Amino acid sequence: MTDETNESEIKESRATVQRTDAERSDHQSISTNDLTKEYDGTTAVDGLSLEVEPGTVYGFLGPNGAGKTTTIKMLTALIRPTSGSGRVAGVPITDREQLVEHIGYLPESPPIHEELTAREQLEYHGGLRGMGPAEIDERIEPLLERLDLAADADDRVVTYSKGMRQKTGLIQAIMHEPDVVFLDEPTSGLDPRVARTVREVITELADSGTTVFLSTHILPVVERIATQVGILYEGELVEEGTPEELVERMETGDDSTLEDVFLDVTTAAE
Amino acid sequence: MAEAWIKASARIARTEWRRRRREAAAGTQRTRRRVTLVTTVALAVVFGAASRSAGVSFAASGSIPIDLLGIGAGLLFGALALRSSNVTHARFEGLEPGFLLTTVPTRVPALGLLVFVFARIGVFLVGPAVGVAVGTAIGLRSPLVAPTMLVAITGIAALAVGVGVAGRLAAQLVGRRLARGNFYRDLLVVFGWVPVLLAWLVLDSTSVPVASLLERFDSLPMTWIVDLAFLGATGFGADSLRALAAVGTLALTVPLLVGLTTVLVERLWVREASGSTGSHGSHSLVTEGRLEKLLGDYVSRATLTVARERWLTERRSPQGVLYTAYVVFFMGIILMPMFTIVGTPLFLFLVIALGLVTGFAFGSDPIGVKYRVLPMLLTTIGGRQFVGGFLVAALVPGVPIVTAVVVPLGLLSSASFLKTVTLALIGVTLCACTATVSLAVEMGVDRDRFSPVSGFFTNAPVYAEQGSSAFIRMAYSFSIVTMTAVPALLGNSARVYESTIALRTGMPTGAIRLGSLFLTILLAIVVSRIAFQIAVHRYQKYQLR
Repeated sequence: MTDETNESEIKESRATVQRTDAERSDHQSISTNDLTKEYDGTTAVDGLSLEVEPGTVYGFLGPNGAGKTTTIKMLTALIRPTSGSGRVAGVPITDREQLVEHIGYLPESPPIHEELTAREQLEYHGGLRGMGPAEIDERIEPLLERLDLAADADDRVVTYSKGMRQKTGLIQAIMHEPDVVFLDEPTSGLDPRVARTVREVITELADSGTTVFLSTHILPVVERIATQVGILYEGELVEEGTPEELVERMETGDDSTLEDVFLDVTTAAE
Repeated sequence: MAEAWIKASARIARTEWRRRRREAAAGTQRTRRRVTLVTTVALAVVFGAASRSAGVSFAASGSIPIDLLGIGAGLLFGALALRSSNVTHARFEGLEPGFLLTTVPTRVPALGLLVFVFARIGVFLVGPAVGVAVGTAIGLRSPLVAPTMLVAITGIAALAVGVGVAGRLAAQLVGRRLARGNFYRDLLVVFGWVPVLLAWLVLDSTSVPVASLLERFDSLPMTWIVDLAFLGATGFGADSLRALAAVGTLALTVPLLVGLTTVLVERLWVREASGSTGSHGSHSLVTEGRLEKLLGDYVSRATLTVARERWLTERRSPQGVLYTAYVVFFMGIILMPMFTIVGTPLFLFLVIALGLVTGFAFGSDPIGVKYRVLPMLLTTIGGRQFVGGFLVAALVPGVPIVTAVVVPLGLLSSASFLKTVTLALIGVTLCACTATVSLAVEMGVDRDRFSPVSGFFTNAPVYAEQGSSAFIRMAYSFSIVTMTAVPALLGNSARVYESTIALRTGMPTGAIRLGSLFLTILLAIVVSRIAFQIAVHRYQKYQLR
């Protein structure tokens, strides 16, 4: 009798814990639990557990080959994890059909057709999202103006510079106002003026409740706009916190920067 | 210095070779090597045996048919030059000029490209060449023929590679220079064979003695190569002076072609690097138009946008429409003889061909045509919208095309109205079946297998799979679709419905013929539905490495 009582208490307790986990996951924009990806015996991402709240700009840092892009691909359901689980905007990352309604994604190489003009490409994306012509115009025109692309929007992408492609890709990733946007090196190839505008756009997105998952090597960008930072090294999350917390925790000196923290953490991990 | 350039060129050629092998990787490396080795040996044996017989025959007659062999050498040269041109087309775009131009002088990648193309040609040529050289030497009982023949074949290959590579690069440059030049250049490349074929037919039908035209080859360098090849055999009429002329021509022409290739690479990559095609102006992809009025109540905006974008990119960078040439080839070379044997009416053959062509033009190669935007699509729309979009893209032009061809022909022929409508329905359902089957088959291909190549009628790179896998899959898709048409084919074959079904069942032949058409429609719908589900499932599970 006592054993049965204990067993039912344990089950009840486990169920409560599971419910609490699920509820907590539902409230997070991104949550992962022991997320792992292996390729041909090599572990690209190793037991990654993350919790990112809505409206956060999450700076995702790490040296080359640390597993940042693999993580983003798992979170956007472009590849399946080997083990572990995750949710983005409350949707399991294995359910791509549902997930696509909530996310925007700018990979390192912007996914745009070279035969189309920027305007056509953005209309294409808007149309795929079920947006009407007026709504698309309303969303893209201000962004084209702001990112200094309006004058070239009717030229074909094949004639664009890297920065112009990057801008087109960025507008595409955010034009439908997603709950969570994944940006892989969004300021790569941009001139300082446009790079600043992009930083402002990212901050405004976060202010409006969008979660921005930002992977970049440009640490001053992260330092300026990220509200939370995670450092990935050889597939493992080795440090996490606000930029200020990280600087404070590392005790690298009064005038130390995120770059110092990054170098310290990745060197120590070696 | 020259040695360093040659080493660097060889390194580029080796690297390209490795890249190509990995892009086209099928099976393990060891398996590929074994297959190549076995094929080479088999070809050497086959060509060797044939050449030995020819050699024996030459020895018996005491002379060599220089003129005839000159034509053969000309054909070999043409085939190798064409192949070299195609290999250049597939490889030049992916040579990473930014990296190479900042690392080595332009002549190095130019020479590297030539070496690579020569090696590609050489792999296929080495078996037959050795077979022909050794076989002829044995047949003629003249061992010295083997080395002279190998020298001659190598010379033809070197000349063909030079002409093929330089010709292709020159065509690209001319196309880039002229406004709308790409259009005319590609028109020539894609349909250039048509006037040649027509000219041949005209010459043939008007009884113009083609042989007398070909006799003029006697005075052209291609016959000099034959003299060079048989220089080792004394007493068979090979002219040593003309053989020497062949060597001189090769020694002069090949370095010139190498130089020309270098100049062309320099022009294409450095001096005239930017394209010149008109590239301004946008077309709306979401305007409320006829498509929405027609299908808006049944199909989502996302699906219609996929279809509309498919047409727009096809217009600017035709791929699917050009690939229909393979359908025509498949129908003409494989199915037409079969249909003729079975006794199927030509009208039904035409309907099946139309279904295949229209379905394939817009409903195929989903990974290739969406290569760049695939990450966006996978994170934006679901499988039903994606596959549905391709299906709409195929059916919207497919239905009017099939109807416009089949209905007037049916009304003009002896076919009843019901049969005409049924045939049109077959064309439409086969169009849908071809699109969905192609999508289901091709959604199983890894995106990493695709690489950029220069496309026809566009200055943007198109993405294509290297190797034979794409053709095998294409044949697989065609076979599945053709299988759905088997009831119609058998039911309308006089041999089958008269001698078998009608005799055994006592059914009227008209009912058999019409019933078999309906059976094909039903079968095509069922296969389309299954293929649609498979394609959707594959899209949903598609992963980017």
